[in-house]
Amino acid sequence: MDFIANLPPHFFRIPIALTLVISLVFINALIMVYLERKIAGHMQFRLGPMEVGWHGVLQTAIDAVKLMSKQLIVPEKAHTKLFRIAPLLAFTPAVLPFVVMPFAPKLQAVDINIGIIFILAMASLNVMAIFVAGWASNNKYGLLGSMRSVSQNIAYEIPVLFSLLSAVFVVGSFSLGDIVGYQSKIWLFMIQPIAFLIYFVSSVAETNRAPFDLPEAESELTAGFHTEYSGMAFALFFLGEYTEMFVVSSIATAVFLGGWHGFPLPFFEYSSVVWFLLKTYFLMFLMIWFRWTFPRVRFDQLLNFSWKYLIPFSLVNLLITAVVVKL
Amino acid sequence: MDTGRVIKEIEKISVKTDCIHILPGVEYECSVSAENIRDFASVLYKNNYMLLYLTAIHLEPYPAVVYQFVWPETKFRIRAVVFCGENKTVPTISDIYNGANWYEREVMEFFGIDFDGLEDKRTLILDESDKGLYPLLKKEGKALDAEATGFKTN
Amino acid sequence: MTFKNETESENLEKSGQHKFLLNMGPQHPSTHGVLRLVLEMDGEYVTGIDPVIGYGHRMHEKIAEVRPAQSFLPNTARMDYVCALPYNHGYVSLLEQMTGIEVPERAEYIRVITVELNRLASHLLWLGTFLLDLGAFTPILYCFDDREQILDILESVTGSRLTYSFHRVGGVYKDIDDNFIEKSRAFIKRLEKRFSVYDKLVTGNIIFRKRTEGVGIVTSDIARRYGITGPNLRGSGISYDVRKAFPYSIYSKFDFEVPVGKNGDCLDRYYVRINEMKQSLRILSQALDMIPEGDIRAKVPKKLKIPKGQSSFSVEAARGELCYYMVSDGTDVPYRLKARVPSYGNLSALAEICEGMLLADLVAVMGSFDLVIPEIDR
Repeated sequence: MDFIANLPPHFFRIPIALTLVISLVFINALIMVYLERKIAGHMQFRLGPMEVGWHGVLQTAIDAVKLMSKQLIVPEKAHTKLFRIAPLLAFTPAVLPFVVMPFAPKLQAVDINIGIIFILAMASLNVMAIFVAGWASNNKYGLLGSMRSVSQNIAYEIPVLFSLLSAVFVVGSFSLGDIVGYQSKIWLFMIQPIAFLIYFVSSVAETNRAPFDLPEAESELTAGFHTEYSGMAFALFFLGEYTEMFVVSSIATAVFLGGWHGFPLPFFEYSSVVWFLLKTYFLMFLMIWFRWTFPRVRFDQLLNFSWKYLIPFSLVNLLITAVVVKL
Repeated sequence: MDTGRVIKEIEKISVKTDCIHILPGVEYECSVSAENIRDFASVLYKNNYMLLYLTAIHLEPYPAVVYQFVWPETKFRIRAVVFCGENKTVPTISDIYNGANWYEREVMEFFGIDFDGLEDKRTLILDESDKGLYPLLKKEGKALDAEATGFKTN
Repeated sequence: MTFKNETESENLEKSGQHKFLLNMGPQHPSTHGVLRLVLEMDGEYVTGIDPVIGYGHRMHEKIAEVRPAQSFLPNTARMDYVCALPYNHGYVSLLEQMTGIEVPERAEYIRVITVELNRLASHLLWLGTFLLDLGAFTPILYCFDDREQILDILESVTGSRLTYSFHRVGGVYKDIDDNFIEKSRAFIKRLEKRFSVYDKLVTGNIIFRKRTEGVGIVTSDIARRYGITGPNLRGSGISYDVRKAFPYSIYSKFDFEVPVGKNGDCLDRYYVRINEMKQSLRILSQALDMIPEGDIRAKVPKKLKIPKGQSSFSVEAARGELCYYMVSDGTDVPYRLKARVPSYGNLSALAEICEGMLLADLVAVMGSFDLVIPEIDR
């Protein structure tokens, strides 16, 4: 028993955290798909899913069962191994950032001192998955989609990094716990409004959501990188996308919107978690709102927007922050 | 920009025929020989006419090609009829009016009329394997001559 | 360009030009209907376009030659199922012109009212699908909401929702009642208010403007060379509308304008169509006010003998000039019928307009052209 007692606490925390996180991811996807369809429906003068369960709440679950029971068809000339690995590549890195996510003062699996760097590293793995998927499908639409995805992600990771860095400069720590702790009086959103805006716009592009959904641009590339995917492999890409949305929204919440801070809710003990989730889901609602309102931007406009506006602005913002902090 | 000048110009290379039914608006119908149709089209193109369509009719002994031009600004239409010769060949006008390419290809596969100088001779609407079917030709002996269908050959 | 098969595609890849072939359609979300485009691509840029048509070919022109002229009427509606009534209208008007049948005035009013309603339905469908091509999902449902109202109104008098055979030689099939007029008036009021919704949702949107401004410019020379008609031509600044140029039916009685664009880009075509909807509403409200009492159908013999000769009749369909050309040998069966469909000329110009464009722009131009493929295939 001494052996077990001598093990570092992370040895127990991380598996438990991962289990919880994966269930959170699935539940989040179920909720998000339902919300997206319902919100889209009401924005478009229709009801959305209504058939399965009360107001269609079970529709997503049924859809998931359907997708699981479907066959994964591998195209004849596809690279079979990479074709099968790609969905996993899309899904796994999307889950890992939750390990360092500060949901509440004590609800954080590991508070490592380079939390933000870890999250960014994991988030940028997503592009690898899309690239592999598009290439392995041996489909021209898939290839075009993955080409777009790579240049888009390179262009938009830089402003994400710069805007987060300006927040880090203010706090003076990479640890997410410290950053949220710093915001008990004033949210970073008020100190760094430009950084927040740049971060949010770029993160919409990072997650390949409309109006920046170029890698899967339906009217141009049919379905882009996942043209050839069916069944659960397709569902994993979907899960990956919704999880990415959750990740970027929770980073925005933790770094700019004060994380778990908020006035204590009456009759509710764990109000900090509720505050965190409320803010995160509000940001995700904004993303859904974007998607069902805007047309899609063109490829060169997308890149120009990043290289000509977002990156210079975030860089200037970073410089000013650095100077002010130094003074 | 006046119609009279255009009519004077095309009268040199065409023969006016009588329309039996007149369209709402003004219409001018003429018959053009196969050699002159390219000049005819060039004159009209220079005078800002637009090619509306081009089609063919199976007549005895040889089919006729019908061109319809319109001048959007002054609302004047010109219909030109070309009676094919024995070799069933008409010079193409697809280099003057690029849109004629599709119409000529369509006539080619439906009627078997050859367009001299047409670069792109693939089938347009029918499958490549249906080449030589000529679906719009009348059955043997059913085709009528120009007089019986109201065309004035002059 | 003659590349339709796989070996040629491989040859192109081996030629070392870093180009490849992309097969767009016949099943593709933005080639509405069964249009196939073989694209020669250099990365994201389209360097060559070869439209392949004929997937929905039914040889309507041959069918017209083997049956009495009046029995061909249902076929006309099957060419363009989005805006079928002008096709009815053109065909029966051609027969009336050739046989000299006088149409009662009330029937002409009913024809114009139904045709304009149908044109509105078609333009609303175009607006939705055009924005869908640009990646905006919501407007199509707004447009369908309005379009359903029109289809309901038309259904109440014609009996069908898409492929009408409502206009008959000598008049129309059924008279309209007060209920129809009331519903149409209510719809005009409703749609007038909706334009501001579309304006807020679409016109002011910066992404929409950036996607359409200066994209796919149709010069008046291209329009002439390819025979582009309809809103696509008027977007280039040429004011040619058959309703004004060769006033057929009773269009000369109405006060309406022909909206024209300036630059001939996608945005101008968008404006032209939006303004055309407003003009259609003007015609509609005038027609509903002016409609006289009387017969709706002249006496027409069952076996309609068409006098010997040739004739053509043009009407303004939603996509441009629709021209029927008929040659008759004096029997009740036409000797030859040619339908000049507007989308045919419009599509043939696509290759020249879109060469060297980004793929996304090609989709935008195709959307702004409002192509209906079964009409091209006939």
